[in-house]
Amino acid sequence: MVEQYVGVRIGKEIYAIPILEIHEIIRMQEIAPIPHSRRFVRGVINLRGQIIAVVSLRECLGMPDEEYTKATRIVVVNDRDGVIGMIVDSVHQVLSFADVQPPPENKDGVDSVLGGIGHKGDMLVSILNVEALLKD
Amino acid sequence: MNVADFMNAFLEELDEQLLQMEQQILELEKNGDDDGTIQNLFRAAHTLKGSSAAMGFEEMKQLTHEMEQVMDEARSHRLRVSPDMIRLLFECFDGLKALQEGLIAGERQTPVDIMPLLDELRQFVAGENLPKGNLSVPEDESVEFDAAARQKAIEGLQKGLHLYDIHAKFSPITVMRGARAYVDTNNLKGVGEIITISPRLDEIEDMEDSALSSFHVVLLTTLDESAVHHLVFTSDFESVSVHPIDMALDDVPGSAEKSDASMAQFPTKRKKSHSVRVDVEQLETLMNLVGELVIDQARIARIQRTFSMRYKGDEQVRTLSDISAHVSHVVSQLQENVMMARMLPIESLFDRFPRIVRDLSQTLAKDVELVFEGRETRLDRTVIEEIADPLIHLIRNAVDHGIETPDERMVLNKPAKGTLHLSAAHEDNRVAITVKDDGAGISASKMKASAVDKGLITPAEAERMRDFEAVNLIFKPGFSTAKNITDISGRGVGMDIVRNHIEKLNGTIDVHAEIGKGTTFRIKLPLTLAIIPALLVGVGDQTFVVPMNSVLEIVRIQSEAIQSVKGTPVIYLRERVMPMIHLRDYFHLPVSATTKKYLQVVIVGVAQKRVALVVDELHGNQEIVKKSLGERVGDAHGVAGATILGDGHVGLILDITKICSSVVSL
Repeated sequence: MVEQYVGVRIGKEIYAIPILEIHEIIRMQEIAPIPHSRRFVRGVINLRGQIIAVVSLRECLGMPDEEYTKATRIVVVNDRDGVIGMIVDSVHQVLSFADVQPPPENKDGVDSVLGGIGHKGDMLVSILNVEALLKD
Repeated sequence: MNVADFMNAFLEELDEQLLQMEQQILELEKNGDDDGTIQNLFRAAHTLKGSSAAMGFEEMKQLTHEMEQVMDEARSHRLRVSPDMIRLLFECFDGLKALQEGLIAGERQTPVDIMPLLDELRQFVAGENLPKGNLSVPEDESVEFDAAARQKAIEGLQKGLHLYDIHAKFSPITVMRGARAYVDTNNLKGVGEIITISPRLDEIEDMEDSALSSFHVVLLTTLDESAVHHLVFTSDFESVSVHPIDMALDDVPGSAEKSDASMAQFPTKRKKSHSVRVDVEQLETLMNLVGELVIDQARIARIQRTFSMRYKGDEQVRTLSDISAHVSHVVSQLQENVMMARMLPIESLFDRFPRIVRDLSQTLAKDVELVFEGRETRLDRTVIEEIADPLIHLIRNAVDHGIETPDERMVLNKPAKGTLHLSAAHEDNRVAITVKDDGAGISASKMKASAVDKGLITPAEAERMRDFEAVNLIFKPGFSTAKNITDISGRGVGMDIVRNHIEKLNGTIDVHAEIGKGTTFRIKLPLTLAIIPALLVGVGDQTFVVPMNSVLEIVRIQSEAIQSVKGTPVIYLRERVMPMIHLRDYFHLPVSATTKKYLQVVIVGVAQKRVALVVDELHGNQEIVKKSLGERVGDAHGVAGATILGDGHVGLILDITKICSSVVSL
């Protein structure tokens, strides 16, 4: 079976997250900020009685945060023992690729934040490696 | 069930039976030949034999089998309970413990060699039984009861008659055995009522002499054992044994395998407890689910209130209110019950101590009696687990350093036997555990001298120190007054570790000592670690949670009262100078625009340290369920976790220890 991805938008770019990694997608909700936490952590939310951390995918990718809009979503993905939320500008569509290329190498070697580049027609989409994204 | 499930069930049973076994051995040592205790030990060994055989643990099966043999002999009074027997039983118990540890560690290789122990056990049984001889006779001739016979036996026992199992073994030279048996049973009919004969009488008449080596008669009679023995025993018999049968008929040899259906008709002494085993994780999940229910219920209640205001008098809305009220009642009951299910009586922990005290006092040649109080006090199982090590340490200390040797005690006009008193009780919302000995106590002056020697306090401080403060020096790191390091305590694990451990559980410990009279340690612990009472405070637009156990006082101070020492803002309260922390600054929240005349201050404390926290608002108390932030958040300094508040918002729990350590001591 062809692997499926959920396309999320950050600014003008589309990134793909493997659908099997995704727990659920929720609307933006009130976040309790945590003082003295890591730079990309925006705080914690109450997900039906469970407290989960929420990070900014923009910050993870080195982009400045923008105002949250009606389209802003929190993508809740599996993470180690639990789940973690990632704030994205919007959720695009479900994608599948005919071909997935290994990520391009940069000067420091393989860019591990990307799990690969997916081809769909003439569109190129970066596939995110969630585990690497959240590493220190 | 898969293999792992079986294994878990087995390990749990093993744990339970071993605990039972240990208690019963101690009981046996105390009370000597007691049929009930022997019976219980037999049963424990028997049960373990069965389950370990089923699991294929050969060593354990063999060991329990031999133990069972010893207990069987003791049960039929062919073996007397002796110190040797107790020692041997303890060795077996230790052997089983070692095997258990091996199983838990998942080692296929047996960690202990049980062969010597098995040999010893066999010799023990054989040695005491020499006069019996004739090994070709099968020993396990069993007595079978049918339902009618049981009924008769119970009625007889209820009338106060004795019930005996008479086992008559023919001498090898006896002929006409069938006829002999017939005559003897007829004689017995004259003195009471025969419940059963095995083999049955009509079988016996037809049996060849070679096939009939012995027979059992179960007799209800007014006569005592020796009279019955006298009546039956003649030169035709090699031996005649008469043992009383208890109400616990299910343990008559051979009938133990009977179906449960027939057992049910026979009331035994054993109390049936109606309980099931539940995985702890399942309880944990249940607790979480109930937590979610509580929050959702609060939200439903809120919507119901809005509706009630908006559509006053609407029939449906009234129904909604009724339902909402009922659900909230049920949810709170549910929460209470799930909490209770997580609680265990502390006796499960106390039961481990008699053996420790016994071994210790033997090693140290001291005579110590352990007295329990409040065994049934219930507390959260996680607390019970965590408190075990500190308590063991205190008990070891009490026996080693506290209680004197019998000789010393005689000189001091004390009873030779020292008493170690262990009690547990609920006090308000906490559990108080005390460990009290009637030993030598602690000398305040010696404590001071020793602390000065070790450089823990200055001579001037020692001078000022009151006696009870000096005694509490025992909790300082690096303090130990033991002159020489013994095997028992003083192995570098000091009282400071004990205190740390207890403080980690949100508990407190203090000590009171009177020279020559004894020492008392008092530990106070929360009932549960899952739900903690807390004070909610508002800082900026966020709500923070301060665990109630670290809140000492809430005061309102004028902003002019703040002074400064070495650049740190301080306040002077109750003759103490304490550093002050503005939580807004501490958490880098925007500084409030308005300057208030009065500041709301929460005084918190950890150990001896006091810090004044400035907050914006007080939101009252609430019981909260602590949850972790997860590892992705990083080391959020000053935040210990989070909780979900009644309105569904997230509240951060302050880490008071960290916050206190971030300011300099004054």
